[in-house]
Amino acid sequence: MTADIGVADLRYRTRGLGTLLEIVVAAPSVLLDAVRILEEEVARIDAAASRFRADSEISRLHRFAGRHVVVSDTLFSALDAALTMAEATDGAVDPTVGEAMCRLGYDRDFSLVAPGVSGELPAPAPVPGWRRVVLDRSRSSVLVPPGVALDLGATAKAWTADRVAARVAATLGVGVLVALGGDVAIGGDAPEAGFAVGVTDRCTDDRSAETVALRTGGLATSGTVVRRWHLGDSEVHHIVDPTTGLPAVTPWRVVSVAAASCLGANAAATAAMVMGRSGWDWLQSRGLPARLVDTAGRVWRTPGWPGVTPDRLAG
Amino acid sequence: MAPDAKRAHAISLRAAGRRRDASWNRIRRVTRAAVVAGVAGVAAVGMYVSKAFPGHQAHPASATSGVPALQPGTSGTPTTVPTPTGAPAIAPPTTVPVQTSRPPAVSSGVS
Repeated sequence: MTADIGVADLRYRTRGLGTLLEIVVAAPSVLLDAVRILEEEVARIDAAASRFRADSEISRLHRFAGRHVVVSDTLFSALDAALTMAEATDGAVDPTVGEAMCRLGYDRDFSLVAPGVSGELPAPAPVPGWRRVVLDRSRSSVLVPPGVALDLGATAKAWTADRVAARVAATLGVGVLVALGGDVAIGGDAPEAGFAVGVTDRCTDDRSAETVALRTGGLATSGTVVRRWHLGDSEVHHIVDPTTGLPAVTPWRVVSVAAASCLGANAAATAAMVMGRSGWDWLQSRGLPARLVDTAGRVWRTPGWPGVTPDRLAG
Repeated sequence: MAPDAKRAHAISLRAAGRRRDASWNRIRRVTRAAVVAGVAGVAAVGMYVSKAFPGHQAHPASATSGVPALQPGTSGTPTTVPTPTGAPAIAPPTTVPVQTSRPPAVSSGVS
């Protein structure tokens, strides 16, 4: 990791997990301790859940498909979170999309995929389904059936952001904001006015479309504006619809959601992308503040999100 | 031999035959019960051992270390989903976001 420490603004920014990692604390004296926790947790989840590392736990889990394998607390908890989100989103965010991702060419670090890969769009086929993954709590073991490949890309960063925020707040006793690739988690006692978070298409954008203040929970954004590549002649993206195993066909460009946790916010945002038009109703039925931008650039806000909301979703 | 003596002898032979047949039947019942009980006992002990000591089977190495992993078989309590604990898995925040004109500390966007 390379680091750019800005103690004056109590913010630390670095890179890891193939994206931008940031942490902001409400007390300058604990910044370096908070950074240490961030780096520990990021290294831990990378070693546990990276499907691009041959030495990661999840890669070894795939090699022992069909058998119960005892895993670390980190991987077990991350898988537990992924399955919880799969259930909560009615299967729209499914961790068994790994094989579908590989068929689309996303089988290595994205920097190697971005220039494009050869091949052609595969025929639609549903992914194996999250219910086939078996967790045994009594032994912290996991069984992945043969032919099933896991991809925790939709939940692992957000889960880690929550974990870092909780650990910093608990051990250092300060309010903290953690942003891993744009997945934002708040821990501890935030400043009275909250942490100001820009809402953008890309987490690296300097200018935000709007800025909101958050005091609790998490905020996450999913979308198809990045991690796009060419598979032969077809342009594809990284949000896979579990019912087809293909990139989701969606009217949304980006979806941002605020929730009680960053994990929940990210899963809800991705689920809305996958659900397409019905994602709008799904978010509202759960009372989640959300901001959706459609492919025409129009902005839609559910109740609870600051701003003006159009009356209905146009045809 | 007198007719009465012959009849008595025949009756005696039949009675002895009946006693012999009854003895064989008892032996067969007892043997059958013993075999059934033995097989059931061996099966019960086998099931107990397989549950109590699952590690004797071939098993993959632990994903976390070189220590062999357990093979829970059917003795564990596997679950495909976490047990719900009351609150919904995806809940709204306890404080809603509000608009602000302050410069953002970080951005939430796609990565």
